[in-house]
Amino acid sequence: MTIKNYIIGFVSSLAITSVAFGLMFKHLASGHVWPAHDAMVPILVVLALLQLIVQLVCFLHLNKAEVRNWLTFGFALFIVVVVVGGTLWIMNNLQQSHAESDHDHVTPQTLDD
Amino acid sequence: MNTHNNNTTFGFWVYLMSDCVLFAALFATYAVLQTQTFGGPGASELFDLNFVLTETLILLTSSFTVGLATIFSLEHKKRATLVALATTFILGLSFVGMEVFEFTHLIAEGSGPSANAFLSSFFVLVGTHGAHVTAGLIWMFVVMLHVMRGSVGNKLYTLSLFWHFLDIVWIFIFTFVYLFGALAL
Repeated sequence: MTIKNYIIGFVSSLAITSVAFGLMFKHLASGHVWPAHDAMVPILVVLALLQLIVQLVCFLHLNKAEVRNWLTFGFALFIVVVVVGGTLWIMNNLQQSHAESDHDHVTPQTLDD
Repeated sequence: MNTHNNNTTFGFWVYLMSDCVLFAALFATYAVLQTQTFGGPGASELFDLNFVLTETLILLTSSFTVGLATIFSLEHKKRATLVALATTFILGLSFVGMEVFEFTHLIAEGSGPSANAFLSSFFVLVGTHGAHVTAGLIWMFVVMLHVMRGSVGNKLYTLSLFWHFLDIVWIFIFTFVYLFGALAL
């Protein structure tokens, strides 16, 4: 744990944050044209994960942590993935099957008209 | 003082990881409810990205200064430690102030937490983070008193872990709430 670690972490976090906001401002200024809407989602996710790794290593010193810290971190990560991923999975499925049943309901009526 | 190999640090680490699970649940709730605006304005109309960028830079800088405070205290530089902590405290206070301003502004516009499901989940997620920062400020004040008396131990190290953790949570808030919100997903 040295001052160098913190400076590297701070500077790279600033850089990643500027890139994320900069691209977003460009995207909005160009009227959602460049960078493309579909490209922005993966770009922002990658930048967030990159900044997570930078801060975990430079600020929380995870690279020098004990095995038990790693184990709890891994377990927490697993729970986070299950909670967030599972929620989105179930709710998307629910929305889709809901939309399908709405569709079944609407079709006979439109045929009658 | 060995900051890595002791049970206090590990115990605090376990707390941080469980807090992480709490935030995961709130993020999942927000992700599901963010489109349920009940005819009201959505994220892209409500949030100001310049304002959020300023909040982000303030919190990021405070994360750096709390790191400096940790290093200064390991080197037994009392005065420098206090200056770094005081800077962190002022930055943290500015962050909370900006958040309170944003919240009162939203509520005054009629976009309070009871307006719709999207805003309920937004206020709970961002408000929980803000409450953590506020708790961190109180803790920081107490640690500053300990530093003045010269009895720090690893209190400052656990505080810095907490502060860095809140910075990491904020990365995901500015990405998934504000930037994704501006994308109008």
